[in-house]
Amino acid sequence: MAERIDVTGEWQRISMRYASVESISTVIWWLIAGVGATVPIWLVNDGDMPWWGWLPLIAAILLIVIGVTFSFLRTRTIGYLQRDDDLLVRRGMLFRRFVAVPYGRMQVVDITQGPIERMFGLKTLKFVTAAATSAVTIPGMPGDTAEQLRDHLVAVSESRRAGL
Amino acid sequence: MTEPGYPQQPQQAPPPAPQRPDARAKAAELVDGEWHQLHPATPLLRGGLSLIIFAGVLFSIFRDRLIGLFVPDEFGSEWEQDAFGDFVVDQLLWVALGVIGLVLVLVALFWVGWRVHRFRITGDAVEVQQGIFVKKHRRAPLARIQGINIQKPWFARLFGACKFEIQQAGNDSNVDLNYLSTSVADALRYEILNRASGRSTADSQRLAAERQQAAGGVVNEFLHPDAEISNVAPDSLVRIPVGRIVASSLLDGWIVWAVLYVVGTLVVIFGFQQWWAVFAILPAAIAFFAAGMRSLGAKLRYSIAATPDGIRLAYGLASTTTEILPPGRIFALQVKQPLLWRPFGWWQVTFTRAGKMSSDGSGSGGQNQQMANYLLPVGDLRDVRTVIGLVLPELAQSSLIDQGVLGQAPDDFVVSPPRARAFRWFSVRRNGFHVHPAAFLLRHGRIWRSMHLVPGARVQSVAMQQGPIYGMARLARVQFHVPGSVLSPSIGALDQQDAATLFEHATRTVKVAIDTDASESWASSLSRNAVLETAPAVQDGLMPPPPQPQEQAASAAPPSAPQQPESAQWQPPADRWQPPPADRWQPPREQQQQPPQRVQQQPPQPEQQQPPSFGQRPPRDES
Repeated sequence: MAERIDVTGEWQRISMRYASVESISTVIWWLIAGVGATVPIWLVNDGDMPWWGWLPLIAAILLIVIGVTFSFLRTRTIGYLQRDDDLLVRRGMLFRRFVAVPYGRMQVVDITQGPIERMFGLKTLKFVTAAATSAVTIPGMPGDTAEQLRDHLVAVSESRRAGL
Repeated sequence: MTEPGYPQQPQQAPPPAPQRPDARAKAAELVDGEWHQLHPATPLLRGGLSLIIFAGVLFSIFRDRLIGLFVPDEFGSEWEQDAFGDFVVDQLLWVALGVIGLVLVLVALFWVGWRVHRFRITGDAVEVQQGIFVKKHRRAPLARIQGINIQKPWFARLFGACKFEIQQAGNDSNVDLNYLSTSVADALRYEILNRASGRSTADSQRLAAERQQAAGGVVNEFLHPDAEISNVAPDSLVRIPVGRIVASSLLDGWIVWAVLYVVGTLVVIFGFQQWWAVFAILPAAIAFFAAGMRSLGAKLRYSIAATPDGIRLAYGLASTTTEILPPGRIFALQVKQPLLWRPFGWWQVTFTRAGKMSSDGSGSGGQNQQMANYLLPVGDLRDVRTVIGLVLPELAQSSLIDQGVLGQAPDDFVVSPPRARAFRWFSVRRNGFHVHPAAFLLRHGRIWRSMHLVPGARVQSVAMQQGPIYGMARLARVQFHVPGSVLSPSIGALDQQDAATLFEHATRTVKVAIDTDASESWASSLSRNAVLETAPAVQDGLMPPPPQPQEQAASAAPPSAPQQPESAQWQPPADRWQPPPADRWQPPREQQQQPPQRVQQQPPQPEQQQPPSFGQRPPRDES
């Protein structure tokens, strides 16, 4: 297989704990879906489970395994790179996406933290530019790095504010 | 600017047209920083329609009865059972009192609403206050104006009023001054744009004097709703014959579909004797007809011109809209050709803006929404070049436009490699991009031809993507993110080396473009150099001067600056390009200042066999 696209540089990886965050939400999601599909089958058959009744649950468990594996693989690929004039964010292994946002173009920098992220002490950084399509997020920022990066970005983009 | 020696006392000048200085004085009064009221007919125009509709509903309810009053014998029996009507007739006094009371309350509310709806224009912002129970105060900085448009719905024109909309970036962030007196609206727009542009007082007075002189005689509100501006600027740079507008509307994609739909339904009706299908055809036919007439009405008087404050668009037959888009407020352009226009060589240019034109709720909203995206509804290649030249003067005479809309592989564009044929069956030799210092050009499609132009200084961010299938074919997609939802320029099925180089280069170009961009207060950045008055284009570095020292210096830049090879190619036509009349604006981007110092930092793609001299690359071998 051929070389895939890549951008070389001092990439900052996000915390691998983010893979656990993603795994947990994957597990919860697919368990709900699997159980939600299995229980009605059980009820419809008056408590007598046919062999194929377990298929949704098995499928859900398979998907959980795949999802967890991929979330670990994907987390390894998420990263950001602060360059002189722009911030570069990458994510995805199979579906690779690199986004470059010039510092002067950042309109809003958000930090969010969901309940599972809070358990692992991670935060998500989100940049908004004037273009709706360039939604850039960096999940899994440990500890204070999210705040530090935000303050840095705000300071840099203040000095390079460029309107729209 | 055409007459530099013109005396500079426009306001006191003996009036050739008495109402001109008047309007300007009135407008100057409006921008004094105090609170002002809107046009007195505003409550009627905003609420009057609902009253008329109310009266219409009442009338339709009692129509039979009213007729019965005059023709009692024949219809007498029909309204015997109308209990509501009987009740109304019985209690006529009370009902009448109630209706009158309701009308009075409504009128009072509208009147109070008008009293508290005020606006003021200070040195750096427009502020609007409105609301009786819920107060609303909106303040919009002048420097961020995305455009000002004046809409004149036909019923408002009867009152000499018009809508005045100051566009700001964002979804619901426009500042509406509905309604203003038509006589001051144009002048007020110039006052606001003068302030927003940071133009000096002398300059703005001189411009006003030119306008006043050009306007000359009588301003006929109905024949020339945009008389003041159409006279100052050269008349529309593009003339669209009526026949072309009609024909292009008929051949436009969805009208063809509409006709197909109607024909198909007719076949169902008469071929298969399914008479119920009549109910499917009638409403659709009416809707298609109405939509077609509306878009036709809008296109019929389309005009585009350059003014010192940007591009002026005007359109509309009964309800007119004139709009001024200051420099740098157009974020991307698309030139495209519906398939059926191809035999005629017609093209369409759409653009995307940061703001959103609010619909006026008077039925012409659809027209405005649709026209709001057209820079050129229909035109031949020459018109396309003219229009693009207004937005990107650097490209006006460039052969890149022709190549972009018509050309294919061996030319200045970098196209998909032959192995991308699976993804671009017919257009593999056309699908490609070109990086010009001023803009990114992306061309697509051999059957449905189109080209995107994205000014470098307006790009918000750039993305490069590759999915697993593209990965196997070593292809990639590059996206340019711009505000607005009208256009989303991207180019897929590129060789991944090319994509990486484009991505790498785009981020650098965008940075330079942002640094040199000064469209926020466009006139002050121009007037910084007084010499610009004589030859703004050349002085500003927009038009290459006859000897090109900067260009040659830049062409020594290392390989990863892909615009260099072509710069030698598009230069000769650019030399013939005469700077236009000086009163057209020039977006002050100084594109020749490429960042050669950054280019050396990293050779972007070491494994690339040949340097990406994009211009002359032959079609790549299949590997």
